[in-house]
Amino acid sequence: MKMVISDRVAILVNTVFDCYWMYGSTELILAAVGFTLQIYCDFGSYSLIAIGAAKIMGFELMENFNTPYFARSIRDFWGRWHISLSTWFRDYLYIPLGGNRKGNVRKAWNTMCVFLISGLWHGANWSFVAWGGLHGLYQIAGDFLKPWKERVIQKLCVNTKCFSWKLLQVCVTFVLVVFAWIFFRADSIRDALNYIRRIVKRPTPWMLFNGEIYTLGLDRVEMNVLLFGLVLLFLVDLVRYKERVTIDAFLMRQNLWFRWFVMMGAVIVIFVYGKYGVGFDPQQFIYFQF
Amino acid sequence: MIHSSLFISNFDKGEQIMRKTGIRIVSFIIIFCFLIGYVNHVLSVKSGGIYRTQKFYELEDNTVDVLVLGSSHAFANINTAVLWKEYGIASYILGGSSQPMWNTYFYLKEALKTQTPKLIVLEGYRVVEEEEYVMDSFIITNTYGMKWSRNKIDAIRTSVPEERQMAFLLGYTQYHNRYTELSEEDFLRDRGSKMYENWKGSQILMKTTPLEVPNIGDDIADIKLTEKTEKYYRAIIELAQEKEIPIMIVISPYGGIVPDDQALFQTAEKIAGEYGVPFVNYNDRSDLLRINYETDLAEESHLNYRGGYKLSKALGEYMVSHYDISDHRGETIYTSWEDDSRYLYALMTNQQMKEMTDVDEIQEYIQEQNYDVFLSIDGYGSADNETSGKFLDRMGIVDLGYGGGIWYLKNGREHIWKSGDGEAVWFFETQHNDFGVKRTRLEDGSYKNEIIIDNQIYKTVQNGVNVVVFDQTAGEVVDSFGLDADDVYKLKR
Repeated sequence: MKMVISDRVAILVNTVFDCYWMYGSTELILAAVGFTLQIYCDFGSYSLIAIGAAKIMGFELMENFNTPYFARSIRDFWGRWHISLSTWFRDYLYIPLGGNRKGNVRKAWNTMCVFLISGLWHGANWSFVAWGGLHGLYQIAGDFLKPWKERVIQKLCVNTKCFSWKLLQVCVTFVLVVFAWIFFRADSIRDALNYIRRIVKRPTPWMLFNGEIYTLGLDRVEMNVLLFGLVLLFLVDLVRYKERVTIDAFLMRQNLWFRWFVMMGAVIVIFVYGKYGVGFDPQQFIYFQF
Repeated sequence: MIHSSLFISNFDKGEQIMRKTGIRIVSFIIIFCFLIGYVNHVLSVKSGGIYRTQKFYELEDNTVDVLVLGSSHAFANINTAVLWKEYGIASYILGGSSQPMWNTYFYLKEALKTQTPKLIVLEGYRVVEEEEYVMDSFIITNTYGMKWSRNKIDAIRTSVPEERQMAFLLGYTQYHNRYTELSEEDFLRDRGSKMYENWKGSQILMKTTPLEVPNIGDDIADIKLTEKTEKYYRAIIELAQEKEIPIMIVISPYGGIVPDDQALFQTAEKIAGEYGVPFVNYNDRSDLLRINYETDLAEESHLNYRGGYKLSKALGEYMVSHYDISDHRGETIYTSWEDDSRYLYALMTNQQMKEMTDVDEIQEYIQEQNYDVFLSIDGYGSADNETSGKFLDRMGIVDLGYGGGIWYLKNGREHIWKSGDGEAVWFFETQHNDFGVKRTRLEDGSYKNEIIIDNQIYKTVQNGVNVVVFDQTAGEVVDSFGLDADDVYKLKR
């Protein structure tokens, strides 16, 4: 996750975010989605290393990520993302503030407080606060719009049990999360707003066709490796989502040849395609600073 | 009673289901048509005569006084900006590359649906057409810009052999595989270029190819035009006369003329004579235009902007002295002609700078034309040399810090921004362009300066003074040059 995907996509993300004023909608959206994947792979792998290291020493740590980008709502997302911190904030801030026990307005206030503080926890920069605030806003809006949404669903006879509805929910949640990550990654709120403004004002859809996306730091081969890595990541997360077990538990259930194939394959992929060695500037874990 | 209420309720239910199904079908069709329409718009060919025709449809009815028809000889050689600026003539060049007479005829028919020009000018070079059917690419560029109409169908049927007509009528089959070559112009209005915002069809050429004066001799026997070319050549004249619109035929001068071309022009002149239509072959009169074959031609077939200026000025003079053509300068409805003219004149002015080689002359020109300037002093470049010192001093850059820097000067004079000695990033944008400068410290302690315009980094010399000149009127980088410290600050492009 870290060496093959995160550090690879970071090249593209840094290229675009560092000089976002040079780029148009396609590059900017690509970089925002790239950062969404980068931070997941980066922090996810960071957490897995911690869990693995603890396990070697006989400690059982809680799972920190549970397929967050398969979440079907922002509330669902926060049940799957950085679970240790979310749980801490729930237990030591949200519930002591009154949680959802004192009416809707108070619940909204508590939610916003938790997310603003969560933003601030990431660093003394207003862009982090804006990121937290956005997530708070998403949840409050989701709560207040729920009855209206249900009425519309009922009126339009939308089937909410089928795959397409679940897919739509996952996609909408993903887009909202990506949007918020722009604030998290940008150097300032002003930069984030300019970044978003350029997505709207400088459309560059032709970048998808004329090969210019390969000039953002990743050439065609590197981009293919990244896509390959993302397909693997998707499959692993799909197993986690469908089977409701962690990948190691899932593997332990399989025959030896398959376990060896996956483990050796993963090591070889890291050996060959991992970003390390001469000429590569290793990326610090993003969450190392928090 | 029970039976009848059951029947009514079932009938209502049935009607409700029918209405629902109807709404679904209509919605599906609307969304599907919108999507297919957009995909078709993106993939369709927009080059050549196609966009020129599409822009023609956008004109207000009956605003064009002079309608110029023809091939690239029309749109490369005749400059609508000169006709406007010098004489206030509202002209439009409706043509396409290698356009044969039959396509010109259908263009004219289509044009007369919305415009009633006071004069039609046919640039008649394509009377030299020998083939009955031109290349597929030219068929596409000379027909696909037309709106669906009888004229378009007739144009395609005339341009394509019968067995292949269906493939051309179903345009999408011709261009659906363009997905590999999509670019900015396929998605943005006016092809994403300032040039097309108020375009009147001129596509002036900037390069220069020195050529010898063509010598084709005097005593050349006539050659007959091909049957198809003559038919439509005559049809163009007859259509104009039927509509009582004066028409004149012009052949613009070119370097690659051969005796056979001249022989065909002579025949065309005689045919025009039959109808009492003026025919001016400027190849016979290039001395009157004062065409200099060393400097005024882009290549063998076309004039460049200098030659085009001379031809257009002479043509304009001929038009106002022989026909009743009004001067529309200052009229609100003709603002787009004024804007087109300003843009094309800016291009010509910019080209003059690109051709300059003297640093003093360039510096004066920058300030005279009020160009925006991005300037960086890189590596061990300095003001110590006479050339660089004088240039920088005249640009008002006197506060040179150690290790250079970057400056942005508006209108060639006004100091808007400077980087200072350390790291810096600064950027701004206009409606069409993005500008940025970046100064970063390298590991060895030196600094790297970057001037970035529209995602392109401009740097000519590693050590010395780098200058990028930008014209906001044309929205283009006029020039990017350097004074090279490694070569006694000589001008490098």
